[in-house]
Order: sequence, then structure tokens, then C-alpha cells
Amino acid sequence: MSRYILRRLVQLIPVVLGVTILIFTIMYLIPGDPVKMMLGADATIADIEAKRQELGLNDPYLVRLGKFLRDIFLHFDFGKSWVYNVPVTEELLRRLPRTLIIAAACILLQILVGIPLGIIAAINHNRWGDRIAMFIALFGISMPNFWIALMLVLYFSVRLGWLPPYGIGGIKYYILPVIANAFPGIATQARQTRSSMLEVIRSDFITTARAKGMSEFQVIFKHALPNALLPVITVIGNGMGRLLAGTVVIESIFSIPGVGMYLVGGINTRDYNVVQSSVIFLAIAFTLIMLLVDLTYAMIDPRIKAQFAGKKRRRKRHAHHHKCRTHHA
Amino acid sequence: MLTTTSAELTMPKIKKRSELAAVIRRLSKNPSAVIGFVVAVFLALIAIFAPLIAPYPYDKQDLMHTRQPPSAQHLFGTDELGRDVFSRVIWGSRFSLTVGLFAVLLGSGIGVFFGSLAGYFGGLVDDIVMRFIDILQSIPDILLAITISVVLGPGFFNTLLALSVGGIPMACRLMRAGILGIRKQEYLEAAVAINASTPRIILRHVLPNSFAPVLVSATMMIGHIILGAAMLSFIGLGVQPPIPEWGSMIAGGRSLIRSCPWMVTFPGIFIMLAVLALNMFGDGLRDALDPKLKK
Amino acid sequence: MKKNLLFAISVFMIVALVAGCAPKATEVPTEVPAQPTTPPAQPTTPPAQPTTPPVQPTAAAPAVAPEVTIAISADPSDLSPFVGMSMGRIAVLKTIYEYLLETDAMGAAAVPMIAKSVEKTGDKTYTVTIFDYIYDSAGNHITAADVAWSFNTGMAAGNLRPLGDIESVKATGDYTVEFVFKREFGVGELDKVLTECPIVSQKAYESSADEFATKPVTTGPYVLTEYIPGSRLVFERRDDYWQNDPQYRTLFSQANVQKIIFQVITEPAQHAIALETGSADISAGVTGDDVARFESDPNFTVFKFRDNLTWLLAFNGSEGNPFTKKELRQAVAYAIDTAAMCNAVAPGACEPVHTIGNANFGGYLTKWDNEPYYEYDLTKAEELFAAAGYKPGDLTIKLLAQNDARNALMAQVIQAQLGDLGINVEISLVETPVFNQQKYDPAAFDLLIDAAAGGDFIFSPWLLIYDQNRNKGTTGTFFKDDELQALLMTASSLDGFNAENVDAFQQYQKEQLYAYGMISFYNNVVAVKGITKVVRDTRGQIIPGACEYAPDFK
Repeated sequence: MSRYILRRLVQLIPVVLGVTILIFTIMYLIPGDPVKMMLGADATIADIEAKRQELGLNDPYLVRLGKFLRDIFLHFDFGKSWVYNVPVTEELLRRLPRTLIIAAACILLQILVGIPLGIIAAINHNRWGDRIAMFIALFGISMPNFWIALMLVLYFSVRLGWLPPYGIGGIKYYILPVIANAFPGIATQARQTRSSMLEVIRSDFITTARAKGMSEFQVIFKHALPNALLPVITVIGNGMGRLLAGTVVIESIFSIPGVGMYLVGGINTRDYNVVQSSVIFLAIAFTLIMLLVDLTYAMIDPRIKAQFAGKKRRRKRHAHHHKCRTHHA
Repeated sequence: MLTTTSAELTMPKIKKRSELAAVIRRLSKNPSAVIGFVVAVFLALIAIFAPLIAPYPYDKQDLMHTRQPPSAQHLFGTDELGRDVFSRVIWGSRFSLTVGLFAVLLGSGIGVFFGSLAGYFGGLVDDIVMRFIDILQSIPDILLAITISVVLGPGFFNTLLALSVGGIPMACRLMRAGILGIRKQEYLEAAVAINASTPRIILRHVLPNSFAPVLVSATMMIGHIILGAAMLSFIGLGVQPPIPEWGSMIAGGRSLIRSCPWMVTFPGIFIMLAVLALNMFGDGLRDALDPKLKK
Repeated sequence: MKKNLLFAISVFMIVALVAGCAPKATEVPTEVPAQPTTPPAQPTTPPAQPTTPPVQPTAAAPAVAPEVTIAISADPSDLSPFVGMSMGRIAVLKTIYEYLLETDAMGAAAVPMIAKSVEKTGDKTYTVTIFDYIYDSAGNHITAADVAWSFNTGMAAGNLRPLGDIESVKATGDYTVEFVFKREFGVGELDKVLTECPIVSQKAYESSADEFATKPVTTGPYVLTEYIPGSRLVFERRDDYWQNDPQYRTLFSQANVQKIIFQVITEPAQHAIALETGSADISAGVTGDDVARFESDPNFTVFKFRDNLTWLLAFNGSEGNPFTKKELRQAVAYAIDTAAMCNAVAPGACEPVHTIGNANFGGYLTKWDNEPYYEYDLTKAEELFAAAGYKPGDLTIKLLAQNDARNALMAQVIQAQLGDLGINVEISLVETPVFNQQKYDPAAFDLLIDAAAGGDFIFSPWLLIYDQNRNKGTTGTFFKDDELQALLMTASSLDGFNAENVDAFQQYQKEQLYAYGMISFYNNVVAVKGITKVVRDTRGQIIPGACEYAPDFK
């Protein structure tokens, strides 16, 4: 097991390296001069040139890329924000927890709501229960999340006065942002639960269980559900990417200083270090969570556990995993 | 050679035709899929016949009658520039659905191409393609769309391009998985045996047989892309005015959500209809294509 | 209600005028702007005159309110003194730092803050004497050495643009500093330098772990007690504020409230909600359409201030561009209905302008308000269009603007109205960084929507867009015109800044029309009842300590 984890961690390195190069290249191509942003509209051409030189912006692409990779991978130095003189890592570490709190709470919500909806749909397959449950699940992903967010604020904060409309503080500040951001996850979760439940319900051992005269309740919750939950875990990991991206909008609606807002602010001011580092941080967080999901998956499912040893078998599992991963997103 | 190939092809084709009929039969028994399909077709018709339906051009301003609530003259009211919101929503269906459809076609096309390569050739090609897909997939697709959209600049086509990138990994993986699944099947081996060229094998034998899951995901992806376009508009990217793409209408009017709710609500309802319909149809399609769910 | 409000504002104005602090930036268009015949600032007489204290100690000191929350639109992120200005920093910096001088109102001379007096001791040399009892919130004594060090550090950082004019700064005594500049200064330029650089204690700065980025030591009447980057800043009133002589307490040294909270609210639609739910007390970020609701709500007061920015349409004058033809430029100006544009973009909070600049600026002539300035006239526009040699449909041009909501609306109005004239307009709305790059590129646009402010005097916005010395020998948008430059230099010079020269330039620029001033907005500050007066700095930012609060506020 530990060898497997180690191997997976090693496999992460090229991915992170690739993400780093990719985002660096994108930022290299982005139009708009960060120095002009820094110095303001009335800066002279000489001032601008001097600042560009100081920041190394006049170097050729490969030189800049090389420096960037060296700083990140050899010195673990993500640099300072150009616009504000604050080290990026420090700021990211301060902001990451807020983003992760929202993401984690969304996942919790999607499990608590999405899985029951999926079960209801599967039990009532092709009947109205199925349709209604799926309609509820789909309803939430049919609207832009900033619209949902504003509607929630107007209703729960302005009209009812129950919850604060923005800002950070106690738990109650997170309730509306989490609800607004959780909708897509709930829908995906409900769908995946439904289809894997259907798959299991139709399998031989359930038929056997039914034949043995077990109650429908027992069949569903004792036999079908535990087996159907496996692919459901993968959904949680995949949803993470969407959740993290969703926070870009949600954080700015609710004025929550998380990574998403930092990133968008960085794009608006062409603060390269901020953008690059935020994307790399988010990508690492995302891949680590995916790894965690795979491990959980492996630990729960005895069939897969047994497969760790052989390389060929691992590949096979991988293919299956990818299939699940894309099944429903 | 030609004759043998077509002889080889008759088998799966016939099989396919009967399968298609079965799929349609199953689909038609699923009311939510039917509703989704009808609504989607309805919106597509609106998009096609927008110039005939819309009472005003989408950019016709009337600065003397701005911010008018819905009335007989302006069914959905007017916006800050006195433009008819109804006409803009109708025209918006054309722009929004086009962005959705073509971004998905483009993303899926690229994905299918590389997925086919990876799946068919395996080995080094597979490794290279899949590592790149890993990299692409470890950046959340909306973030990728935002950064690419900043690079390309605003505009209808650039927005479409930026949003299409997010669809590549999924189509690629689905295609690859599909191909790995059928690689071993007999008719392929037969095609290889009769020396059919590689592209031909991929194009005529492998693709059609691995296409179903891609189709399902693409259907639902259209909705996702329409919402993505709205998100880009929220950040200030996206299409250029006066193009009435639904997402940009909502994002642009959101500060008037209280004083002129009609400016935001109507495009919102249409986005909701479109995304909901496509998802309902997509769900139905997946059920219908899933052999395990056959009764 | 609106009338009552206007009346209330007028009353404030009168009170303010009587009290002697004349907030020039306040609304009421009828207010008489400064007349250039008496140039507001005469650099020959040192701006700081201890004999005429700038602010009268408020006769009946307003009650100190317990707490106020100000909604701001962006996070300052970095509170340190020597980095560039940003939307977030601009809102809070004056509550943290103090400067040698301070400008209370647009077009008015700067008043003493850290500096007690400024003396001109040579053509390019000035000697500044500072107070000898300045202590920051950490108890450090601020001396001339700190002033020199602050300026030198600011110059080295290269982010504070006006400091580029400084040759050297050195302490010549415990409380005297000598400034040598690179050139002789025109009207208002000295003030610009001396109001730019925050003065901090070298010792405090160097012993700070993050160079004041999150925990600055303040010199003003408040001390920062909490800063959550991206969310909020909390300031508490200092009991030991150094400036205990009421006659020297500037607008920014007032402390009418015990606790100030700046709350960052990034989403514009949330500013109105913040006020309604009681989670903020003042906001300048309420969007135009929401303001009307507050105006009719007895629980709120809306204060209107005229914005410093003039939104203008600049023509591309590079060789071969169609807009090198004067008739075409004039045709475009006549075709645009700026009154209708105002109604579309910000109903009730916008006004067409008559030059590039408005009555906020020192030297603005009120007679311009009554002179014709390309009022909407499609027939005239068509005649000029034909005179320029064009037929409808001939011309397709590119309009460049920034991608925010207001710019988008302005651009679309222009597109539609030029469409009526027969000009096809392609809109290109880009992000601010791209905009700042493309506006210097003659190939990137034909028309440009831009804003100009740039200083206290009416010629400041003109210099910003027309000065051919700044931009490789052409105006900001590539016109070359020696007469324009000569008139501009005269109007902005020390001895030439008078009504006659200013008017001469205005008439010439109006005729040539290299840029067409379109509209100027009002900034609406919405405050909960109990805030009786809102005070803003020259950059339009609310100064919470100087605002006045009713005794029963909170």
C-alpha cells in the first residue's frame, strides 16, 4: 500500500511540473503590461522600462521560465506579489483554509442531499419519484451560480434577515455561499448515485437477496447501497475541481477573501506571481484530493485492494477509474 | 477489397440500425427525456427563426424609454438602453446555443481525435496524450477558460474557443476508454487482417462504436458551457456588446436585480430552460444507451 | 424628498462654508467655482501659512460616535507606505498615514499636516519645517531624518510618480528638511509632491516584520487594531494623537468616531444590501439604480458629490486615420446625445460636460456652462459628415473602452448614435491592463473612451490628455499641434494661469476637438440616518473620522 501511495505521489511531479509550465506560458502570452498597472497612468516610458528590467520582464521566454521553475521547485519560493509587496505563499496559506472550508462544506451538503435524491430516483426507477428527484437535482445546475447567490442573499438576508449577506466571521457567514456553490455537486452526486444504484440493483446478488425473501428496505440499504457507494466517492473527488472554480464567483459575491478572489484580482492587475501560484496551489490541492479519493476507493473495495501488486492489473483498475470519472460530469 | 470492407461493415451497421431504433424506443418511453428533447428543439427553433420572432432588432435602442417594466409593447420590458428585452432574449438563444454547441463540438472533436490516437496506438502515444490530459484536467476547467479567455481577449469566437478547452479531457478519456473496450473485438481484428489503413479503421470502425458515451456527455456539456459563458461575463470577459448572449445579459444587469428585475429574470429563465432541457435529455439518452438498463 | 435632501445638503454647505472648511467637492451645481482670476494656489507664497489656520476648530465639537462601518469596494491588500496606489489602498491610506501637507478640497491650496511651514529658498529648492512634537502610535518621535528617509525610500521604490521630480531630500536640522527638485514647478506641482509620500518613522518601519504591509504604525488619530486581508480593517481612536493644537487639525486629523471599520464588499450589488441589512453605515459603492430607492427611504441620506473624472471620447490623430479630419470629429460630437447617454448610464447621477473637466477643478469658468458645446444635432452632424467627404456606410471604425458596466453602456450608445449618422462602429471592450496598453497603440483604435482627472486645476486633465511633451511629441491620441501646446503651456504656467489664457485654450480645444468631453458622474454616498455630514478627500474617498454623527447615532 505505501509503495502504491509513493508511486502515485511520484507520478504527481510531472503533472505539477506540467501545470506550472502551462500556466506560466499562458501568463506569458497574456496581453496587458503589469508594470503600467503598478505605476499608474501617468508613469513615464523611462520609469516603465526601469521597472520592467527590475522584474526581469524583458528576458526571453525560456530564461524567465527557467528562473520561475528554479525558484519554485528548488527553492519553493513562489515570489512576492508585484502589486502588493506581500509574499504570495504567505497570503495563499492564509486564504486557502477559507476556500477549503467552503469546498468541504459543499461536499458534505452534496452527500447529504445528493445521495438520498439518487437513492429515491433509483428505487423509483422510471416512475414519478425518479423524475421528480432528478428534476430537483437538475434544477440547481440550471442557473448561473452568481444568480442563485444573489437570489439567496435577497431572500435570506434582505427579506428574512436570517443570515449575513457577505463577509467572513462565524459559521453563519458560510451558509449562503456554501448553498449557492453546492448545487452542481448535488446534481452530479444524485445522478451518479442513481446510476450506480440501478446497476447494482440489477445485479445477480441482489436478485438472490430478493429471492431469499429479504425486505426491500434491507435489500436496498444493506446490500445495494454499500456496493453502489464506490463510484460515488469518485464523484466527490471530481466535483472538487468544479467547486474550487466555483468559489471564484462565490467568493467575490460574498466578499470572502479566499484563493478564488485572490486569483481573479491577480488576473485583473496582471500580478503574474499571484495568478501562477494560485493556479498551482489549486491544482496541487485538487490532485492530492483525487489521490486521497483513489486511496479511499482502494481501501474500501477489496477487489481493488487485491490488485495493487500487479502492474497490469493496476492499469486495468485505472481504466475503470477513468471511466467512472467521466461517466457523469 | 472494397467489397470485403463493405461486407465487413454490413454486420455492425445493421446491428447499429436496430440498436438505434431500440434507443429511440427507450427514449420515447422516458417522459423527462421527451420533455427535455421537446424544449431543446423548441429553443433551437427560436434560435433559427429569431429574426422572424423578435419584434425589434436586438440592438435597437430607445433612450427615451429605458428601464420600462414589461408591457404589451415590450413583453419582457426594456433595458438601460431602451432595448426590447424580449427581442434580446430571443436573439440570445441563437448566440448562447451557438456558443454551447460549437464549443462542445470543438472540444469534443479535439478530445475524440486525441482519445482515438491514445486508445488505438497505446504505448508511448497513449502515455504522452494522457499525461497532457492529466495536466489539463488538474486545472479546474473554468479557471482554464478564464485564463485562456484573458489571453485571447473578449469576443464571441474567442469565448467559444476558451470554453471549448474544458471539454477536451472528458471526450478524450471517454473515447480512449471506449476504444480500449472494443479493441479486442472481432470485427476490428478482421479489419486489421484485411489490411485496411489505420485512419480508415479508426474512422469507420472504432469511432462509431465508441461514440455513444461521448454523445451523452456532449449533450450535457452544452448546458455546462452556457453557464460557463455566463461566468466569464460575470468576471468581465465573454462576448462583446451589444451581442445579447444570455449570460452576459444576466451578468450585466445584476446590479439592477432589484430595481429592474425583468432585465435579469427573463434571460435567467431561458438559461434555466436550456440547461435543464439538455440535461434531462442527456440523462435519458444515457439511460437509453446503457445496455445494463435494458428491460 | 429629493428637494428636502438638496435643501439639507445646501444647509450643510452653508454651515461648512461658515465653519471655513469649504468642501469644494460637494454637489449643488450652482456653487460658484473658483475663478482663475485669483488662482487658488500661489506657490510663491508658501502654501502652509500657520497664521491662517486651515480648519477652524469646530465650534461645538460634534459628539464622538461609538462605531461606524464603511463599505469599500476593494481590498487594500498591502497597507505599506511606499507601494503604488490602488482602488483598495486609496480608501484607507489617509486613515493610516500622514503627509507633509494635505489638500482639503480640489483646487484649494494644501494645508499643513506634518509640515508646519514650507519656504521657497531657491529656484528649485524648498525648505520644509515640521512640527517638533510628532509621535506615531508606537511612541516614536518623528524628526526631519524620518521625513528625509521616507522620501528617499519612496523615491527608491519608484511607485510614487510625483517623487520622480525630486533631485534630493535631506535633513538640515532636527525639524527642517531641504528639497531640491529637478525643475521649476508650475501651479500646484509642489503640493502634488508634498502630499504624495507618507511620512513614517524609520525605526518603526525597519523593526516591522512585513514593512507595514499588514501592521502599520500610524501617525494619524487612529490606530489599526485588526486587519483581515480581503475582508476588513478596524481602527480605534488614539487618545495620544500628537496634534493637540486644534488649529492645525486638518480634515484628516479629525476623530469624530471611536471605532472605524472598513468592510470590503467586492460585489457592487451587495453595497445596497449591506446598508439595508444594517451591516454597513456608509457606502459610496451603491449602484445608480439602487440610489433612487434610498432617496425615498427616511432611514437613509444620500449625499451627492460631483466626480472628478470627465468621460471623454478621444479621436485617433495618427497619420492616415480618418479622424485627422476636423469636420469628421465635429460630426461625431454632434451625433452623440450626451444627455440621453446620461439617462442611460446613470439616470439622475450624471451630467453632460462643457469641456474636459468640471466645476470641481480650480480655474473652471462658469461661462462655459452656457456656451454651446456640440449639443446633439443630427442635421449638423450629417452636414459636417458630408463636408468631411463621407457618405453613410463608408466608414467602419473601432471604438476602444474598458470592460466595466458604465463603459459598456457608453460604448453602445455611441455605437447606436454613430450608426444613425452612417458610421459602423465595432466595439472593443477590454480589461484595464489591455486598455492601458492599447491606448498607446495608434493601430489599436479609432475612437477611445477614456476618463481624465489628474489634479486640482482645470488644466490638469488637459495636460494629461494633450501635453505633447509627455508622449513622444504628440497628444495622448497622436495629434501634433504646436499652437495647442503653446496655449496649454501658457495656461498652466505660474504667471499664465488666468481666466483669459484658460479660456483661450478652451476655445481652441473646442474648435479642434481632438477629444470630446462627454459626461461626468455624481458619486452618491448613501449613509444611514444619524450620519449628518459626509466628508471626502480630493480623491473622492470618505474620511470616516471627519464625518459628523448625530448624538444618538448608534
